[in-house]
Amino acid sequence: MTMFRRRRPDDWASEHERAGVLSALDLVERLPSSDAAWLSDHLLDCSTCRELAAAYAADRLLLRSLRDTAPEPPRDLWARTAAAIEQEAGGADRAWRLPRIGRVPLGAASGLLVVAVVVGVTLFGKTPPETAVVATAPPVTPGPDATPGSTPLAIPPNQVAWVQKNDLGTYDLFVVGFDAVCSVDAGAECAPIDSSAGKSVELSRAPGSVVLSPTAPQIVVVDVAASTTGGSVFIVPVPTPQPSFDPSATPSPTPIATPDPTPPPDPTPTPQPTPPPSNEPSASPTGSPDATPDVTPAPTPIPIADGAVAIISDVIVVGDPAYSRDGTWFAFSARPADGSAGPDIYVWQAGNELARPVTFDGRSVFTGWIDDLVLGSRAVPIGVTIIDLGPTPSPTAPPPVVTASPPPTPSPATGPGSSSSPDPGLSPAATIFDGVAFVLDPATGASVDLVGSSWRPVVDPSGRFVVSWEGALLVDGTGVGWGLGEGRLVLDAWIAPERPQPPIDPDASPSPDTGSPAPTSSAPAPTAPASVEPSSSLDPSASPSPVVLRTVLADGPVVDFDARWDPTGTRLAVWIADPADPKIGSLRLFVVDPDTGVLSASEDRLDGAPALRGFSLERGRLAWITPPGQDGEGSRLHVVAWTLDRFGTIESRPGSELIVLQ
Amino acid sequence: MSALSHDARNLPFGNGALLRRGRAVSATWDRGAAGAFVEVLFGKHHGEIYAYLYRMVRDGELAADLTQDAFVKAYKAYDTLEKPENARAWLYQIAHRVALDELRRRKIVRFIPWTGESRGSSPSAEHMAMELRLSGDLERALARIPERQRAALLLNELHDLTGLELAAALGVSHIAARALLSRARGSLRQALTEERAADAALESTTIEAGER
Repeated sequence: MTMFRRRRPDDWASEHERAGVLSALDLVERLPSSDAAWLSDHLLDCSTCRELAAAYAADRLLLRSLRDTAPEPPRDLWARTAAAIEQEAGGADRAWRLPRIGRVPLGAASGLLVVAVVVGVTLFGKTPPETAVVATAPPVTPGPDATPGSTPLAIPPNQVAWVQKNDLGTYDLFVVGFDAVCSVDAGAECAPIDSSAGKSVELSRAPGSVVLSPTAPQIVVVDVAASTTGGSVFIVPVPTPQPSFDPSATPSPTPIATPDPTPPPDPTPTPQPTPPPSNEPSASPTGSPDATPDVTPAPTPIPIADGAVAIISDVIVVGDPAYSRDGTWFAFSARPADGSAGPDIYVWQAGNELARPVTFDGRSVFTGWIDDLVLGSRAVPIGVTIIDLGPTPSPTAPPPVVTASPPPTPSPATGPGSSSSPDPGLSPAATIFDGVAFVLDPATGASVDLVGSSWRPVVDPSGRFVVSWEGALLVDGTGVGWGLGEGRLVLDAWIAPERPQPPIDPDASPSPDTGSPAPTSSAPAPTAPASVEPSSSLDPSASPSPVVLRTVLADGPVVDFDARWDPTGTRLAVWIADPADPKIGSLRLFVVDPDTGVLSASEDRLDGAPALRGFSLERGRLAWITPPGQDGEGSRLHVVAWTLDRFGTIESRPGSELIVLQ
Repeated sequence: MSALSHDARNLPFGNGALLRRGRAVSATWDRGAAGAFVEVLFGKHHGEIYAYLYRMVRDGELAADLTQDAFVKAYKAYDTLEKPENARAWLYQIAHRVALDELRRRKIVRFIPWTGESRGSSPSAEHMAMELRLSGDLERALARIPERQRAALLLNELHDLTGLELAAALGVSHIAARALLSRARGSLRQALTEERAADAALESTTIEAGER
């Protein structure tokens, strides 16, 4: 008689069998870190298993292609089903009858129910508690366009900041408080935001995006050229006192004096290329003693007019930059303006002169912060990880090597500033890429990859949910960037990774830009203000992942997207680009159940509002820039604000080249 | 079409609240609430349920019958749904059982294939289109793998059920669902390899016959 015994999880006939099973599981859910590490190591040495893993990934794509050919049910299916149910119900005491379906279209009936439900959900506590309405706060000062017909709704004091081109061709920064909005149906009767007292700083350069420091009296301005032909990123001081962003302290427009422009030390500053990271010691995230202060001369900051200082130049900034919550770090992704390489992530620490790269593969983009860690994503050819065929394959060359990130021995050509063709280590056949997310400690460079497909993940501040692109990436028109291919934008549970740990190195290595030993991840993080609450995004035990109903926010094809969370993690705004004109898109606002991740549209009165790229979502308000009107009217800053039971809107007067501050 | 999909199946507030409302009307089985519930559930999910069943049984008319069965069973089993948030997975679980029952029954009752002349006109365009969809290597490979594995793959990759939802729909534990999916990928890989080898052999034979 044959005896069967239950097979233990670690009871494998061979390592290859284990690798095959793990490769399949890898596509199902994130592997435990020990399994993921083992698999990565095994694939490094086993070409057969590597091929199998790649085949699984290809099968998955093939399988998902069936989505495009979903069969349509017969049109009479409801009639048949309803009749069957009615028959099942039987008798004269039926509480539910088929003819009702005939009188009311199903879709409309569903819609009415949904509306009723949404109202119920809103009123009966599904939404998280909000700050009480301050009814005594005076409304925002009516502008000259105000008409007596509009009745403002009092809301807790709030603030919004934006940049707008003025009549002189320069740019004004406005920081304006407001404590009243109009009902959404007020339309033209609503008084515009009075920005006359909110002017703060005048910028002499056209900004592409502007980010406000959460703690310091400064803003970061990304030169508009940095999104097209190549430009710079500037740190611009704003006059003290720093505009307070405690809404309760600023119930009305906040005037800020215009600063005295600081004359530039060099009247004709020459943009200086970013120090090429090709000599950076990326094999060890902490760097090595021979890493390169000698090879890469310490660049000097480039002062610009108005006190602005460039922290990087001659780059094209990719995606959206952001400060860390405590304001000590600023991160962005950029690639060389000459198109010689793809994007890498750069960080700038308050007090330093220049930004420095923290990735060196030419395929990494910054997507946000989790506490003091950078959250990024890396484009990799379809497969498990990067398949590096080497720059000069030969018949006798060793098999492809699967490398972790950053690669142990990066080619000098793989970083920005390289003059060779981008990404020479990739397989020429690898035209479809997948996204791999990772967290990175900017202080040490240590990183941890997340298992699974994820591109441009955005994690909510409570560390429970993540919005990311799941699907293929395609090389874009630049040849060194990636666009979205087949896939979908998904809201799912966030599984907190372990904090990246630098490798143990008994010889402390100097930090490339400070000359001091690089701090380990266990070292105290940069000082955070007391008001910053610690997040549990990286502590799995503190914030167990909720059982989330995975939600598809947008199904491909999508040209571009932007997703942001409010500080409470209960509001999610999603912008989706218009395929015909990706600068314009539609914006939606969702309420997210903090326990389940279930979306409610109770606050989504926007109905896909037309919006330019770049919006700002803060507690109790969402602000964006409307596209210019067809009648020649300029763009407006549009704000919606809400409390538990109120929802209103307010706009600026029309203007040109408006940018809302993050 | 707006790229930002307001796919009803992914905005569960409708289902959940309706269910809660139904519960409020009657703590026990309430036909009125059940009927209204199934009506909304059908509006939101009948397309994906039909697609799932169609891919399981590879027969459009049978898939329609099974979809109908699934919703009737949902109506009858309304009071077994414990968490309104799980309505979609619960519905898939019902549809999955309906499909497996049908496939099991077909293994017992073998139909004799129709070999005579067609009684009517040539196959409809719709029928041909359906057949065309099934003609690919992938569809044939899917048809070759065990039903439960096929179901796991379809639910996971095409219907976005993951984790506990997938396990609930398959009626197994989370661990078992993972294992099933893992085996399914291996089976599909093998079946695809065999289908492609068969295609290549057939093509080679055809070319040789043409040359002769």
